[in-house]
Order: sequence, then C-alpha cells, then structure tokens
Amino acid sequence: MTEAEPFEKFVRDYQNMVFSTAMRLLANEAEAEDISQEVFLKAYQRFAELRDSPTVGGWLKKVATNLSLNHLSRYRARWSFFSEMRPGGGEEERQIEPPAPENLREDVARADCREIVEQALLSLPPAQRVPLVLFHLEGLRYEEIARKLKVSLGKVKTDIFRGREALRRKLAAQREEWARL
Amino acid sequence: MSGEYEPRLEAEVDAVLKGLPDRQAPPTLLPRVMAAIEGRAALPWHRQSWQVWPAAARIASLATLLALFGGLCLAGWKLPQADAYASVAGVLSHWFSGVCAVWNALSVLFAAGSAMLKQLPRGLLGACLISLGLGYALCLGLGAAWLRLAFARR
Repeated sequence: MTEAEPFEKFVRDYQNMVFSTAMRLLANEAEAEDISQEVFLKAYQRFAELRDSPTVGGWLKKVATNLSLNHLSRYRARWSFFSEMRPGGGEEERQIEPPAPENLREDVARADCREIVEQALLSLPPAQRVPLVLFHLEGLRYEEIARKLKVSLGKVKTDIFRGREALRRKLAAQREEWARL
Repeated sequence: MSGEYEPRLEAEVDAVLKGLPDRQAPPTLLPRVMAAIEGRAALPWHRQSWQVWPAAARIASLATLLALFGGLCLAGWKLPQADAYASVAGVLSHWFSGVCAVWNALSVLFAAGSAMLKQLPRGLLGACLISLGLGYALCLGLGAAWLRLAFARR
C-alpha cells in the first residue's frame, strides 16, 4: 500500500459529507467542489493525527463550514443588503397570522421528493439558506449563527423564520402540483 | 395560533432537512485532491511551506534570520560612530538638499501659523471649532436623512 492510498480511502469515505456541507451553504457546485478540495488539503496536512481520531467527521464538517462561510463573506455585504431591502420584509412579517402548516414530513414521505427538498433549499436566497442550514443541519444556536455571520440576533431569527416559510411554501406548491396530476 | 405555529414549523423543517441524505460528491473531486497533493509534493522543498522544510534547513534559516537581525542592530549602534558615516551623511544631505529646503520652508510656515493662532482671541477660536463641529453634524444628519428617504420600504 502506497502512502497516498489510506488518504484516498479517507477522501472516499468523507467526500459526500464534506461536499454536502459546502454545497448546502454555497448552493453552487463548482464553488462547493473547490471548498471540498481545500478541506481535504488541510486534512492531508494533519492526516497523521486525524486518521484515527473519532472526531474526524466533526472536524471536517467544521472546516467545510468555516471555509464556506469565509467564501460567502466576500459577497455577504451584497446579499445582506438585498435581504434588508426586500419589500415587505422585516420583523412585521413574523406578526402575520399564519395559515395552518401543512405536514411537511407527509409531503416528503408521499414520494421520493428529497431532491425537490434539496432544490427548494438551494433556491432560497443566501440570507435565508445559510442561517437555516447552520441551525438545522449544523446544529448551531441562534447566538452562534449571529456571531459567525456578524449580524444581529433578530436578523438571524427573522431570516430563519423566512427560510422555513419559503421552504414550506415551495413544498406546498409541489403538493398542489401533484394533486392536479 | 402563531404561538403553536412557529415551533411546529421548526420541528417539521428540522425533520425534513435532517432526513436529507448526503449529496453525491462529483467524481472529479477525488482526482483533483490527489493531483493537488501530488503537485505540492513535487514542488522543491524551498517552495513548500516553512513547516515542512527539512529540520536542518529550518534551523539554518532561523539562524540566518537571527544573524541578519543582530547585524542590523549592531550596525544601527556602531555605524554613527564610524568615520565613513560622516562622509556618507554629507553625500546624502547634498542629494536631499532640495527636500531639506522644502521642509525648512514648511516648518517656518507652520511656526508662523501657530504664532498667528496664539494671537487670536480664545473665544473666536472656540466659535470656529463649534461651527466646524456643527457643520459636520449637519452633513451627517442630512446624509442619513437622505439615505432613509432614498431606501425607505414602500
């Protein structure tokens, strides 16, 4: 076995997880692939200590998240600006009496629509998708997300709420489409 | 209703998102990573990062840098005492005589300006400073009001 072979196996084992993390934050396949490559190059430098570590998955996820957020922060000023300026946006949106939520889990179970959920998630604007992914998939708390994204706690809560609502609407629209068929 | 709605929506979205399987990484990722590693390994050691240099090279580079730093400190201390220093300083002052003239003129102007300011009554100086501050605050206020009006949500 050559020196590169264990690392090749390591990349094979974790590439889907690292790529998924980057892809869900960046919503761009080419950029997610670049970030994944960067993550594995960093892992290679510390391979001796990482290869037998039980926390290697968490380490890779954390590095992928941080590199993706660094990448996004170059454009953050632009997307947060547009998020703030969206007409009808803001805290007042949270005070609207909402309709009864459709059961999303039933929708997802109705057919193999994981790809549709994935596409719905990726189609959200970054200002909603990024905090939503950090909260639900990376398990960060609101305060940690606000610190990481350097935005206010109120904005994080509003953006996550808007993201959930947008996701619900997209999946409900899909359900109506199925009902018509 | 809203009180029940938000936690329920959160739980639903959480379950849906956590149920998503990992995406398939593109087949080009592994070859790209391995090629980048091979590319880095193929670089000569002095073009790689300092941490991966051979131990002897790291020690030698550190010793060289320390020697250079020590030499510079010694030169800064001993040079002004050397005979050659005076002649070099003479040549340099001749080269930069034009700059020295401008510097002298500016110094004289600055001294005259400060002498003039000292002659002015303190009340007048204070009033000028307050006017400047008010003007600055006015500009800031007008700018902020314009931004609010221009980007107000309609």
